[in-house]
Order: sequence, then structure tokens, then C-alpha cells
Amino acid sequence: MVHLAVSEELPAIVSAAERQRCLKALSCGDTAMSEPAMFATVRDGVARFFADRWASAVLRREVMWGPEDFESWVLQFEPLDEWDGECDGGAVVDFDRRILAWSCDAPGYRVPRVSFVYQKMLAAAWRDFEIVHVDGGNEALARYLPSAGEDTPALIVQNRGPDRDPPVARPTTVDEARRCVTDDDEQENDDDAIRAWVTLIDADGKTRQRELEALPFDLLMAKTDALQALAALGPAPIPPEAVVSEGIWINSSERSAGFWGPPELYAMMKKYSEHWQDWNLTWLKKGYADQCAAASTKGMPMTNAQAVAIVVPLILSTQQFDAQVMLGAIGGGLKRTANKAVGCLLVVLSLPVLIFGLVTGNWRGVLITIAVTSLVVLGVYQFAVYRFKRMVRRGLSDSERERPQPVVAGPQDEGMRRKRIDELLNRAGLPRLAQVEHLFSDKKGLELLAES
Amino acid sequence: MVDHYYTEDVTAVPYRVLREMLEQQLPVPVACALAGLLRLRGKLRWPLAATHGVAFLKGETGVARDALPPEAIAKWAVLEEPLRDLGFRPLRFLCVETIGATRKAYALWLDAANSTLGSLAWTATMTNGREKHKVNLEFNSYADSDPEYITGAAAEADLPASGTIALDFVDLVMLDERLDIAEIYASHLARIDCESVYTMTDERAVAVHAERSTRRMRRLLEQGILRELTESEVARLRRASIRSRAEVIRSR
Repeated sequence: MVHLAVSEELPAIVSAAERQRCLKALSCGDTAMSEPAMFATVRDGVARFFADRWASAVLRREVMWGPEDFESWVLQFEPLDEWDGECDGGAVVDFDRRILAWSCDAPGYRVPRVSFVYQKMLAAAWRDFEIVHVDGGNEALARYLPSAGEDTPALIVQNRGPDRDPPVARPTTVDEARRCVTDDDEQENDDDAIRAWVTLIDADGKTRQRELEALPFDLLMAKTDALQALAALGPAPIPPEAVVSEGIWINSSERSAGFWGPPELYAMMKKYSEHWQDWNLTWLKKGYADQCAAASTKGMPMTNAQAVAIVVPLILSTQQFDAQVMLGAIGGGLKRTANKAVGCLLVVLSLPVLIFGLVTGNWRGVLITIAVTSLVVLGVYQFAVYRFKRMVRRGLSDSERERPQPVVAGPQDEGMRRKRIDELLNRAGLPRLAQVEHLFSDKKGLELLAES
Repeated sequence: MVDHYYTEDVTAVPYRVLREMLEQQLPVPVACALAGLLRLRGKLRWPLAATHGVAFLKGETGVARDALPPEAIAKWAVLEEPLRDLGFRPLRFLCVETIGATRKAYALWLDAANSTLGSLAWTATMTNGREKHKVNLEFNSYADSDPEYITGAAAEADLPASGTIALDFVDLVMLDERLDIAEIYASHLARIDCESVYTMTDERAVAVHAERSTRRMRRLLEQGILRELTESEVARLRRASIRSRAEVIRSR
């Protein structure tokens, strides 16, 4: 994998989406359009290796079905002789030491409550296993293979120590982190966009709300410019908890601040604590609720049931993710647009004929002309669709076409999947399926994979 | 339980205003045709089916800020900060009873000179299973004699719709909402600069605003732009309210 260089002072930053695109673009040709994953299962000291070109995309769903089902899912992939290759994610399941080490580009969810619920479910699914999320690809995962353990036993620990570099791509400055949404349509979609919430508290206790893509490094380092830039930003609404990934309140006059977010942020702030030396800096354990209290507002808190309703639909789904599915989704969108265009074309072509009919009264001729025109246009359209599909199929590599359709982890039957997840929720002490089902969104298929 | 609910009747809107509203989203010939069709329905006293009802003219009473829908407080944060910076202070918060696919709340602020009210409105509308939120701001100044001075802000596409509330006793100017609140306020102050508008205590400001708002509503009712819902419409929309409240919870 390609490693993006970071400087000591202010890490070079690209957005998460840009990072994904860069990594894909920079990957070698064979993995240019894929979500490759590598797996190792270890039993009685013997490791077996597997790989799949698309498994990384669905890893966070498959891992939720527990050790046995996950192993069965992994065994269907192409066996490897050794742990070697490019990957976006993967897992090492060590049944001897009861460790699951896994890595995934989208391992969880950015909203802390949703992430909390996901982790709770995962812990319940892997009850007697230590679960370690690894940042990085195959090299990072390799440290959890049995052969690596003897030389580097210290690596087999929870890896989110305070001295680790942050895995999250962050903007460098407040200016870079500024959210810019101007178009009306984008504004609507923007309501769901994940963001960071900043509350500035005046000397007289009045609060000002700001929103950023993420908390930038200059702010996390308490740079004066950053605080001034924040004050100069336009006011923002108070965001609902469901769209906030991290937050901070700052009372400059009292030199106090409170922040919350993912564990990476906590680790990073410990690292940057020297920049806040004359400040009273607090980690807000209740996160959103604590920031609402500081901002003197009720806010729009999220319940565990709402968080479960975001996680569970993906776990229940059996949607596969590969090149054909992706192209199918893109093609479906294209086809809908093309259908509309053809409809418009037919109307445009028919209008002069209809006017001719109005003038001459020759309606029989008009109907025949419209019917013939429609037949020709639709015929040409269907032929074009056929040619396009054939061209796309040819574009898929042989390995892609011959790749057997894998089955998802866990039961294949919808009823059984629901039963298992309901039991899992119960074990995790979370709201049951019947309590959350009415909160499920209408998202289906690939849209579920995009939930963050 | 309130029995009198009102809704906007777009078929009563003057043709020119309707056409300009529709031209924002449709090609001119289609907008002209549709505006004509709607006006024809208006002439035939055949209004469009109501999607919501609002209990205007109920004699609203204020509520504590905490009793407002959290979404309203959240969205108003964008407007409240500049209002506070301009020296405004909050006077009253209102939750208006609604049925159907809408929720409404209002807030009234008064400036430091005690002569201009800042009126915030929040409207949530359920569309395709999702609740869309809209906030509006207008500045109001009143005097013994007409006109009432109103300076509002609206999205560019909604500006033509302001023609629907063009009343003879209201001097209304609508500005693009992308302008700074300070600019809109300055524009309002410039309009009332040479006028002898009221300077009001908090209580008087609330009372005058309620009285003038009621007068505007009554005039809109007379003009048919607002109409009272029939009993069957109220019953239908009450049933819809229950469904849409469930959708609101789901969409959060």
C-alpha cells in the first residue's frame, strides 16, 4: 500500500475520500478497481492464508457474525501460500490465542454513538476473543501472525496507544476545514453530512456555534490564528448527534475547553497537550450531551435504538460488492437517465406531428407517424443498450468474470439472519430488532455500505 | 383541542404572482399554463387538497424556549447569533398547533432601540418521508398609522412568493437571504429612518406584534389566500399527523 507522508509540525492532509481515490489510483493495475482483503486463520499454531479482491468492502458486515461463521466465510476465498500481497483490509483470526485482529478502510462509523453500538455488538459476537482493530494493510496485520508474535510480543496489544499517529485524515487549518455548501440541492443532502461541531463561549456566557468538516490540526494545537479564524466563520446550526463525529467547546476568556470524539482524537490530544499548557482541557466523556450542556441547549441527542437502526440493516443484508455490482449500480443510474432522455426525445419528435394533425385533421396519418417514429427510436435505443452492456462485460477482466459469487457470512436465510442478530442485540444489551425496525432507513443495497 | 385550522390556498394567489413563482422551477410556457389552471380552479372555488393546517388566530401564548422543538432551536442558532450581536434580545417563543405534514414555531426578538422586532419562523415540512426545515427572518416596525414596515429575507427562488402577502397596509421589502443579517437590518433601519415608528416596552411589543399579525392573517383570509379547513379535512389531516410524527422520529 502507499503511505502518505506526514510532517512533524502539521501533517499533510487530504480528505478521506481523496485518500481513497489516491490509494486506488496509485495501486498497481491489478488492484486499481477493487477492495482487496487478506485473511489468515490460525488453529493449532498453523496459519492458513486467503485473499479476495472485493472482501474489504463488506468486512465490517461479515465480521459481525462471530468466529465460526467468519471463518467459514473466509475459507471460500482463494488460498494463498504465504502472507504477501496488496490489500485495503483483512483479518487475522487466531483461535489459539483467541485474538481477532482486523483492518478495514471503513472499520466502523464516524459518529461515536453509532461506533459505540457497533463495537458493543462486535464484542458480543466475539465474546471470548480479544478484538484489535489494526490501522494499515497486510504489513500491520502480519504482526498478529503467530511467527511475528515470538519476536514482537509487545505488538499483540490493543494498538490505540497515545503515541500512535492518527489514522484519520484531517484538515490542517480551520480555513481548510470550513464547510462550503451553497447549492440548494447540496444543502438538502448536506443535512446528513458528518461534521465536527464547535461551540465558542463568550466571556458573558453567550454561545456561538460553528461547524467544520473535521477538527483541524491548528485548532487541536490551540493556535491563536485558528481561534480567530473560528470566530470569523459564519454561524452554524446546532447539529443533531447523528451527524457529529467529534466536537469541542472553547471558552477563551476562561482558558478552558472540552472536546470529544473517536479514540484517535483522545490519543492525539494527549500528544498535543503541551500546546494547551495554560488551558483547562477536558475530555468530555458524555460527548454530545456534554457539549450540549456547555452550549446551553438540548440539542438533538441520538438514542442507542437509532444507532442500532443504522448498523443493523447492513448486517442483515446479503448484498454483494464487486465490479459487476458496481457497474450494475452505475449502469442502472445511466439507464434511468437514458430512459428519460428517450421519453423527452419522443415527445419532441411527436409535437410537430401533432401540430400537423391539428392543422390538417389527418389524425390517422399522425398516429401512424408517431407509432413508426416510436418504434424506430425505441429499437435504436435497445440496440445501443445491448452494445453498451456487451462493451462493459468485455471490459471486465477474465478473473473478474470467472470469480465465483461468494456467499455472505452467517445464515443465508433472511429469517435466520434476523433471529441471530436479534439474539446478538440481546446479548449486547442493546434494543431488540422489534424495537428498532421502525427506525430503519429506506436505504438498500450499496447505499447501506456507504453509511458512515 | 383547536378546531379552527387554516391553510394556504395557492389557487387564490394572483395570476402574475403565481406565474412568477412557478417560473422559478418550470419553463415559462408551462408556468403560464399551470398558473392559469390554478387560477381557474380558484375562480371555480375548487382549492387544492390541503396537506397541513395551522391554528393561526388561536390567541397564541408563549412557551419557554426549552419547550420549542429542538430542531427549531438548532436551526435558529444561525440567525440568533447575529441578532444578539446587533443588540436584539428574545421576547417570546411560540409553538403553533398544526395538523398534517408540517410543524411551526416562532420567536420574537426586540432591538436595543425598542422599535424593531425580529421575527423568526421555523417550518418543518414532511416530504417523501423526510422532514425539511426552513427558517425565515423578518424585521417589523409599527406605527399608529399604516403602513407596517416589514423587511424580510428569503431564498432567491422564494422571493416572488412574497407577492402573496402584499397587503395594502404593509410596506414589504424582501431581500435575498444570502445577505448578512446586519445588512438586512441596516436596510430596514434606513426604511424607517424618517418614520415615527413605535418605541415599545417588551410587553407592548409582544401585544402590538400579535395584534398586527392577526390583522394580516384576517386580511389574507378575506383575500382567500388563507382558507379555513373543513371538518373532513381536519379529520383527514389529524390522521396524517400521526403518521408524519412517526416519520419524523424515523428521519432523525
